[in-house]
Amino acid sequence: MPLNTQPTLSQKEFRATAERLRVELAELDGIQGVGMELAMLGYDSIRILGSPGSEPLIFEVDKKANILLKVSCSPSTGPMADCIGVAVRSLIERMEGERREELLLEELGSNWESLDAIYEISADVLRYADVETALERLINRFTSLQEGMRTALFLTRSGRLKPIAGDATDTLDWVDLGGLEKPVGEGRAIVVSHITAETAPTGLAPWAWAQQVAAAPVTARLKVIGFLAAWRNDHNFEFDAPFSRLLEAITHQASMLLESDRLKRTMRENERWAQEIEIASSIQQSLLFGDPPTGLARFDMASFSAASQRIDGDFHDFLRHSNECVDVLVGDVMGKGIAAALLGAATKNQFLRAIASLAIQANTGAPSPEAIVNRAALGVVDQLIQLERFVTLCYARFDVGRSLLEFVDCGHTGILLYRKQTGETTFLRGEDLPIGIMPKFSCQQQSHRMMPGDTYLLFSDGVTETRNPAGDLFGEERLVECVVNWSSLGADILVDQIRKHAAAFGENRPQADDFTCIAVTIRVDEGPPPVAVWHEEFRCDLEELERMRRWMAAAATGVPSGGLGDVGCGQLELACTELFVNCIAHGDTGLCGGPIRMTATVYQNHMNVELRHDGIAFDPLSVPPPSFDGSRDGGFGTYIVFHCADELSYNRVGDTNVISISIIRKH
Amino acid sequence: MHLTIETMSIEKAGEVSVVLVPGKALDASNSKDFKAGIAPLLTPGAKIVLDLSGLDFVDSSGLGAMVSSLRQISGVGGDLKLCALKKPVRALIELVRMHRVFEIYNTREEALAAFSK
Repeated sequence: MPLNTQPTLSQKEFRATAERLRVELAELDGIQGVGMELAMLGYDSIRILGSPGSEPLIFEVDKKANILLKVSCSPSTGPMADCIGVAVRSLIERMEGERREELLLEELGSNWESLDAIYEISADVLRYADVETALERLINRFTSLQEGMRTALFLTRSGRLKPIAGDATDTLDWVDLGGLEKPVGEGRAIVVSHITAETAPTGLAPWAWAQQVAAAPVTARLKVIGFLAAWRNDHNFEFDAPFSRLLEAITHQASMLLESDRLKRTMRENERWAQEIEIASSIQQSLLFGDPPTGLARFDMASFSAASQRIDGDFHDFLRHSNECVDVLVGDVMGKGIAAALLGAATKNQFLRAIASLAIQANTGAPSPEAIVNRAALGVVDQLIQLERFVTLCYARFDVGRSLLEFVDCGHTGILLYRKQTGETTFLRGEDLPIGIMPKFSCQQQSHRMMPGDTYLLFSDGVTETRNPAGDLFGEERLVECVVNWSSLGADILVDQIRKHAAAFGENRPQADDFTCIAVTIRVDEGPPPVAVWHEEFRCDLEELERMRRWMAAAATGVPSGGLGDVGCGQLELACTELFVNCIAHGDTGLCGGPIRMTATVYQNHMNVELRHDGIAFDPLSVPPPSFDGSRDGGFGTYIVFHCADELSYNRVGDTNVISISIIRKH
Repeated sequence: MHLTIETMSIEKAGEVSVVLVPGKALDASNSKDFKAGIAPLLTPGAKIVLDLSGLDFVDSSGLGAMVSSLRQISGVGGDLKLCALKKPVRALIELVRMHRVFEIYNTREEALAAFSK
């Protein structure tokens, strides 16, 4: 019969069972001198001896069927043998059951103690903010659970295993672990009861001469980053299954401490980083983004910049030479983040230095945009090439005294011009390369005649390259539409509307690129004092429309040198009709009834009309754009006013809507 | 000027009705009258030419009335064309891009000829 290599009970346990069996058989049957011997390990057969000299009864246990088979017995002992057989089977079953119960209780007890110990140790170590102290405390507490046990915690540092806590001093390599290397390296706990030559560690391992060792891996984010080893030198002790689980729980606790520490450090680092970004962002706002000049009679300027990563490579600035001459610089450094911002700052600095040095040399007036860009590029081009970066920029000079726009466009987006007087939109572009592409930089200045009412938009590619979820670009066409629709309401509202429309187009997702938008509107020159001022009151009634238009036409004839012209008169008549009707529409709620008071101020080249009317507040920006496909027949009024007016403002004074519109002479 | 079916001059040229919009302005003060006046003509398959030669001024309300008429008649298989627009009226129609929606002809004859094609 083959030896059962996997007995349910150990040899030691079997001995105890067999002893008990003999005693109980003797008691049960009153048979004196009953003996028993072990035929095979694991109950494969049991020989029960009768009185000395008698034939033995031999039973075999069929363990699968749990049947005790009588194999042989003398005829005289037949009935007795049956009786004994039943008794033996019954006893074996009962004793195995009892044994299983004992083991279960023992294990439950151990687990409870382990859980209790783990809870207590975990609660203890959490009090230590410093991870190394906490780990040392954890290992010390664990070690104190078993007298005679020694432990060591190793963590990987630079590819080697460094002792962190416990009874080890030498740094190890994985090969020093012997039989522990493979299972621990693979993330499994292991108990080695008998260290053999094959599983022996090198002499560096502190358990090299131990009788038994257990180890469990310390992991972080699914990677083994070290292990905890426990060993004993005494022969009469075995690391059992509950201990193995306790060991695993302690290493898990160590893993948690390390991960928690890593997260804390990451969080601190992120906080520190966020603070630095915040500071850098503030620096960028104050240094890289200059504020547009205010209080200039001939200019209405506004800017908006937002970096895609809080701090980025866009920059812009304004330089006021006089009340009638302002330079605008807008640039974009290739790339994002702090490096791009630093390069932006350096480039802008070069421009300021170039302007200063050229102004000192020339000693007469402002240096030309071309000279400024060439000089600034000289100071930065080598560094940009070395860093493999480049800068696109546009440097524009708006000189209303000479009615001239002079600009240099180095690979930037150009300037979008909306000429109110003709309704035309144009992209003004230069042909120069970005700075940092070629070592020898040289640019050429472009010129363009400016007219009152012109709106110029300088912007970064982040505006037109805003994408919606389908991947479509906001594009130049939508940008042009914004400028045409909103420019009459002023530069501030225009850049704000562009920002809102682009954000809505991108469905308010985080922008992928820097977003810079600068609007410059050339205000109508009021010139000398008005030649005439007309006042009139009209009933809040549609019947008054025709009289209002006649009054308006009469006032417009007062504009010297042929009035406002056919186009100008047509725009004035149309815009004022729409505004007048709007006043009546907003008076239906009860506040109306009072007159619509109008003032027409006639200047040399333009006319300003103001309408005052008590009614509910009217926000022209809240009116949705009309449908241009004929599907709706309303919604054109506000659109018509925006497009006819060269300048338009809306104010609310108490309960009164005050709307002012300017129309320039057009033929 | 108040517009009614009586004040609007309607001529028949074959199966086409030519409507001469009276007065000099089509605006918020009379656009409702215009809509009411032209409504009887907006029958299935009707062909209409709006002669705007008398109008010096049209505002958004007047334009809306014309757009509404075009939409109604197109919905019942008819058609409406514009002719003889003065400069300010054409400027308005182009400003709001309605020249892409309306068929516009320089003269009444051209509009009628377009119907016979």
